[in-house]
Amino acid sequence: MTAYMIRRVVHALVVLWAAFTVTFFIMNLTPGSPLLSIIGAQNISSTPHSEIVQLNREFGFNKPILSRYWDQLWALLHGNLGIAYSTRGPVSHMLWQALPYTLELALAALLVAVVLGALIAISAYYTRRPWLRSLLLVLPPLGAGIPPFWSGLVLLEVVSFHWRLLPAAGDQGLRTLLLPAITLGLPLAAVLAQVFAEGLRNTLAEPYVQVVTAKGASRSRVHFGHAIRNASLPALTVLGVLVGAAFGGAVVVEQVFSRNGIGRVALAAVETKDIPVVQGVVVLAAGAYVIVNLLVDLVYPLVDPRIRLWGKRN
Amino acid sequence: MKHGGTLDIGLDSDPVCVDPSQTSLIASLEVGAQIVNTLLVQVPKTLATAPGLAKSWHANKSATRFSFVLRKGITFSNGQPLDASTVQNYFDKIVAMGAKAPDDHGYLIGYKKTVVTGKYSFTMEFSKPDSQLPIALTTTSLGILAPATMNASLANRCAGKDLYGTGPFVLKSYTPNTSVVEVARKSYKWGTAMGPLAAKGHTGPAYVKELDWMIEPQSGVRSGSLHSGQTQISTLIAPQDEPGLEGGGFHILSGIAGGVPVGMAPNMTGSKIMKDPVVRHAVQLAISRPAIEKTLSKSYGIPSSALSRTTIGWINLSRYLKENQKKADRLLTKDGWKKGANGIRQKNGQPLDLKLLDFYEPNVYQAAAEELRQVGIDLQLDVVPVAQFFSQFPTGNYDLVQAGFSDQDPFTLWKQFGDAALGGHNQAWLTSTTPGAAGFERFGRDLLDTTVTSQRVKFAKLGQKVLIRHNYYFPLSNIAEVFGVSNRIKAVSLSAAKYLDLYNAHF
Repeated sequence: MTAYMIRRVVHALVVLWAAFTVTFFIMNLTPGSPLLSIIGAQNISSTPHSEIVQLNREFGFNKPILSRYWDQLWALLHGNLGIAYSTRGPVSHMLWQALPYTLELALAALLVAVVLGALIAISAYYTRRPWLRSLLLVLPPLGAGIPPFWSGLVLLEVVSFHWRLLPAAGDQGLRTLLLPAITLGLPLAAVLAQVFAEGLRNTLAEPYVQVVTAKGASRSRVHFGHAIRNASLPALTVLGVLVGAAFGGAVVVEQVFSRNGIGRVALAAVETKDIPVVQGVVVLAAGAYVIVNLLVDLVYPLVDPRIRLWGKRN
Repeated sequence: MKHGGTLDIGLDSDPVCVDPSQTSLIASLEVGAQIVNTLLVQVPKTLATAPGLAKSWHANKSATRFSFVLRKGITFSNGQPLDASTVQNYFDKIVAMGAKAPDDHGYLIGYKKTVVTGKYSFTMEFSKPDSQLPIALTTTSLGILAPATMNASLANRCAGKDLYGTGPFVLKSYTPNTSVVEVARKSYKWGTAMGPLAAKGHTGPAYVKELDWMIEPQSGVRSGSLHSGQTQISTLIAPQDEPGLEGGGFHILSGIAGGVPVGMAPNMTGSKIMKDPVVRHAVQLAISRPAIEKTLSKSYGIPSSALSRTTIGWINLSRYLKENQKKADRLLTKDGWKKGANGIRQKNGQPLDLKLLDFYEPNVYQAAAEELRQVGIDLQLDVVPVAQFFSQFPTGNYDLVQAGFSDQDPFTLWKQFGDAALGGHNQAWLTSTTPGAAGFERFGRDLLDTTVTSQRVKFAKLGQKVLIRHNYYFPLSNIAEVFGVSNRIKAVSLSAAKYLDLYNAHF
């Protein structure tokens, strides 16, 4: 167990370091001055040279890139993400402020995805009506093909602007969470339903299901007592990946629904080359990804006792 | 007049930093304009400078000394009184911020000190002429802030903490990417500081109780929110949403911003083709500005000079900017540019294609490209992200570059086209040997040296004539601020700089 955990933690640290390093060099080597977000695009040329020199010194842009890299890596190891150019405040504070909104959205979307995805997959194989099964199995590819940008705007148009049931923007708890969660959850539900349905189909074709059925188990007992549990492993693996997708999708959904969150922060930071903020977002996203995948790995043995993550190696 | 009510406003982007002195984002200044007053104000209709927090002022002829007398009995929203020493503290701190007060430091170049000459009187002294100062003092980014604000950290001020002005509204909260809430200040009684038109006998607190700015980046969401009654005002209405807001309980409130209209500047140093006066003339003649306006909306109007008509010193040069594609065709053919099989002209094997470096309003430039194609000129848009634009601009590796900037003072023409000695971008890459350029530089210096309005107007007009007659600028479209307003809310108006003036607004 200990050896396994150490291996995983080392792996996680390597992922975080790589994410930080790649972003650092991409952001610093692509053209465009980071001073832009400090003094504003239209003022760049009219700013006296002495001011530029002073700002460069203050933010360390005058140092060689490798020396800046070590400085920032060292600061990161001490939990310091630096100062945002745009707000003049600490990046960690900015992220800390936005994170709860994105977490709330991502979790709500995953909930939508799991409930809807499972419902479709289970219903498709539980029903005795072939036409209904065909219909239900058509839904996931359809759902996966709908871009959240479009479905979000349609939901807003109908539910908020036409029926006037929910607000289009602002922060009013559940009332402003529902539509974004559905928008972000739909494509995730589609993927989950597809994988879960495929798992169910394979599981139901396995010999042990015939044995159980022959023993006189009811249809619901076969499904809910045996098949679902076994078929959910691939879906669980996918769920780990979907967390990443939920974070990525949040960028679009937060923009459409005028929500605060990591996605909005990231978008603004990339546009204005607010490098410390971009790095902070990347490190945070990589961290979340690593943790979720670790959690998924730890849950595997609980679902399928045949899987053991640690133990003697031959 | 009915007091009370909350005014919901859809704002097109996150202010990021709500301290008006630290930002140049329109969204931040829109919000900031409500909480500060300025020393002077600009009257929207006449563009004249009028008393604001200062009840009178005087400038010496050489534009190096500016004396002011403040109104009495004015306080900041934290209770600190406004007097000459608080204003002195404000300017000293703003100048010390350097480039971190992005819009301000360009207005205050040469600032030496502010001398307090009485409890309510002071003189600002400059080491070199700065005739832009009176107009600069009307801009929101130079709205006077309390000593407690100027002593607070820049980060706190950006986040809306310790941010105190003398304006009719007080910042209550700022939630990044979500909302800004401002409440009417109950003790406000110096409406005369809002300027003669804004006041109109109303000097007490603002009529609405609260302003709720909802940050809505999608234009469809902003117009949907307005239509469904979730907001009563929306900023930055997209041209395609304008027709839906004319009638049916809504109206469009728009204004053309002062400054340089959106357009293209030729690279007079690095582009061989653009140095040819015949080609430049043909480009100017080939563009139909009314056709470009049609792709936007009538709120944008048709530009008629290198300054927009809402700028002091504007001169109508539309006779040089009339479309005449037949003449353009004739000029180019005579100059040896022959149309090839693809419809693009060539001369000695060189095609007439022009590269435009651009980061905004690509639709305007696309429309211009279609016009130019009619006469056999191939305009190729090189649309780059904003950060990249400013690293590519100095390379000069293009034939044309986008320009356009909103500013109230005519000196903005030299900020865009003047050389570095005048603190300018030199967008058209004019050099001392470019025909007319030396005169242009001289007019800029002369303009900066005098505070006499008639003289400033004269030099502004001369500057525009050089740029347009030599075709050193191709104006395409005005910069317009377009707001959608519900008829439920009355007396919403725009300041001279085209920010919302909500002091008189009421349900």
